[in-house]
Amino acid sequence: MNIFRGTKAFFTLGVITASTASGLTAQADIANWSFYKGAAFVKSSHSRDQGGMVGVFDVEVRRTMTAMDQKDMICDYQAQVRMTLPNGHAYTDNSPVHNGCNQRAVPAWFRFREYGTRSNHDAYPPGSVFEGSWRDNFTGGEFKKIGEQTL
Amino acid sequence: MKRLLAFAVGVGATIALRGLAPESARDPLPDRAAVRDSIRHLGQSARPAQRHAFADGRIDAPEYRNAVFGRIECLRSRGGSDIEILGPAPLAGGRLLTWHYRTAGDGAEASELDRACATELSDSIERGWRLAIVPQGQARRQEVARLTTCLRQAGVPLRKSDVRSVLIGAANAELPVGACVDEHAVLFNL
Repeated sequence: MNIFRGTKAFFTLGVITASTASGLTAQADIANWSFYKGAAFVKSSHSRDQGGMVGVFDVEVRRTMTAMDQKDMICDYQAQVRMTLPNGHAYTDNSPVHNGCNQRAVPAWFRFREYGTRSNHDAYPPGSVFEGSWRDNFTGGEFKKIGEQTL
Repeated sequence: MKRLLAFAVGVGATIALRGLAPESARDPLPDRAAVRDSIRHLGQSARPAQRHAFADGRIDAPEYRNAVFGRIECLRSRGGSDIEILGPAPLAGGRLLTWHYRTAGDGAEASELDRACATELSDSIERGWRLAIVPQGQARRQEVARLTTCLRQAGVPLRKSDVRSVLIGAANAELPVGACVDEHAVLFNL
């Protein structure tokens, strides 16, 4: 884990694609393991829908502190996801601002329910960019990008 | 041989000490006394528009709901048609409310409006309610057990079942487990 130490700008963007048996649905995760003294994840599932459109659903954002920093509390936080269509139009979804702190070692979490589920969700054109951001006391109150992926 | 024996003793002592570790080390959630103290402190530091809810030393469900609805209405009235508010919807069997908002562009202005509305109208009350409904004692053990079951049924391997391990296990799960977390959101202090 020393490779992460002292490299604040460094992050790992892991895209894990695990096709289901049908081959139509995949879990596509953005994992940033060195996000401001901890880690942050954008979880989502994608499906290849009719007309080549890409369905996006089961969207959630998680924030944890690393084991050595779990004495620190996550405070004044907010999750954000953004979908930018190929024509440049963007939709930004924000969780409510959470003023105050979680208990030590308790992760912060937000699920964007309106992105829906496998059986009921919207679809977006291929080439759309899906990204997640997070802000809290460790980011100086500013949104910082967790990562992004192109559909 | 002596070194091997010393090593074995060291391992044994470590395991024994871990077994005797205080419950608080494995359970980061506040106990009744901490909840009571925190709510009292929140009441003392709350903005004027929120103080009335703390007058009896506790926050109840209608006060929480009124505060959340007031916050949402504040955002709606100040943000106008540029902000699409989605929700509120029940979480954790109706013990909590969740909602979010959608904007075109980067949403920065909406976030600042939301922060201002929360600070003015609801954040201390919301915090007080979330603390008040953190399960205590046997109720906590049952809530954690149900969360553990939900996570395991979702395919998350959990080796330990203490509160800290389950919460961190959920956060590190590779699979989407938001439905489990929503159902037991009172443990995550969301």
